[in-house]
Amino acid sequence: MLKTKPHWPSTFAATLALLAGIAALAWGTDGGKAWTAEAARRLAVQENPIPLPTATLISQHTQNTTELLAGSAGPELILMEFIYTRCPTVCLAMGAEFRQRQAQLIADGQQRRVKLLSLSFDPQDTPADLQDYLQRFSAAPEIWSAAIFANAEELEHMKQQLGVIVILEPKLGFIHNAAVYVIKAGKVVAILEHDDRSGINSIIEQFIPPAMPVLSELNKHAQPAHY
Amino acid sequence: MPNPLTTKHGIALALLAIAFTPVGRWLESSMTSHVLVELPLLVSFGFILGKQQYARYDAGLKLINRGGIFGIIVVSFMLAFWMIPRWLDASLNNYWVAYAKYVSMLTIGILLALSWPKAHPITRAIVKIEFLTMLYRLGWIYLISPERLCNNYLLSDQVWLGRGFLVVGLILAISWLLPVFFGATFNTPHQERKPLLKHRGYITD
Repeated sequence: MLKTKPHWPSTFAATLALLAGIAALAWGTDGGKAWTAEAARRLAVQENPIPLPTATLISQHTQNTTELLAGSAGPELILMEFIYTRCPTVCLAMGAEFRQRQAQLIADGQQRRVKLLSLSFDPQDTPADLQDYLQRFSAAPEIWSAAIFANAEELEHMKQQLGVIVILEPKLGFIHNAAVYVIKAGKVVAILEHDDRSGINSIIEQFIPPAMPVLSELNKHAQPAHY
Repeated sequence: MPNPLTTKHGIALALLAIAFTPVGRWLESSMTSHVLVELPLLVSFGFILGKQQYARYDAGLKLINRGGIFGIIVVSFMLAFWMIPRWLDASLNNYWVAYAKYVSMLTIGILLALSWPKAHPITRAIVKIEFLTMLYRLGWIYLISPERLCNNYLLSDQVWLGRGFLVVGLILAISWLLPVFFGATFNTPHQERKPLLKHRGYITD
């Protein structure tokens, strides 16, 4: 059969190397699930929610709204996105998705428990720019707010904590990932693609169980939905 | 004959330059230059080191590296690991991952220098074919992927890298095939020494 004699130390070493190599690749991709940094960070946050660093935010009404991100004082669930108002493409799509999400929250009667927050990472954005952005998408002020960071260091710290990488391209503007951060009790519990409607639906259902059918019917009749 | 100590120091200096000075940041600024210039450069540093110090390094590995198989398996998996977009990205965000990358590339070069001379022509052929197909696969994926695979690079960067992979793959394929047409596979000394082929009745000339 075999005309060559196996050299057992080499065979042993080669087999070991093969197994170790496969193990290393499995570890490096979380079992084949995360091949990109983005996928890895989204997978990691589900196991280990990221606590939000404190940040002083200035809302579109030039008010300090740190309680928007705080744990106990704030709403039950916050859907947060990083945007900048001069964005020609992605942020417009994200705004349109948020408008859709706002309508959905009102239709489901969850508008008091789930809030939307558009956070600008562009130091050049002003509260007036935020106001323009929100009006463009018919944002209801009680549901959807926008804010800028008062402090550049806190912005950097937030970006670092959440793994947000922003590249400034001279011709294209800022390049960044269009992700929605789901925040509960001051911690990021999930990161999803901004247009992943079914994913966001199931996260909301997971953390905010739907009210009993009878009550939600009463709600629908008692409060006319307005945008 | 160059003084091996000087070569080692030269390589150490170049490595420090890449790791700690803007030279390395410039190489890593574009995805294409990161993968197609910096990584091969680091591997070639290791290769030169391995060739210079062949006797010394081989003394330790000779027992387990018959036919160069062990070395080539380790090289393959190390290379595959750093081709994962997540880890290329991580090497730009984290010092320790970057150092691990530099050490890995050096190790790949050294192991290649130690293992290639021991490798049978069939082993060499398999390695070459697998390397080429890896380049084509990666090139294609990076070329057509609609999503950004690395947070630190743009989509356009990715497309350029894909093209770069395919171009390098094409050049290598041509340069490796050309000798075959000009008699490279006729009656090689290796075949003369290997009784296995003679037993099977292969025509070696």
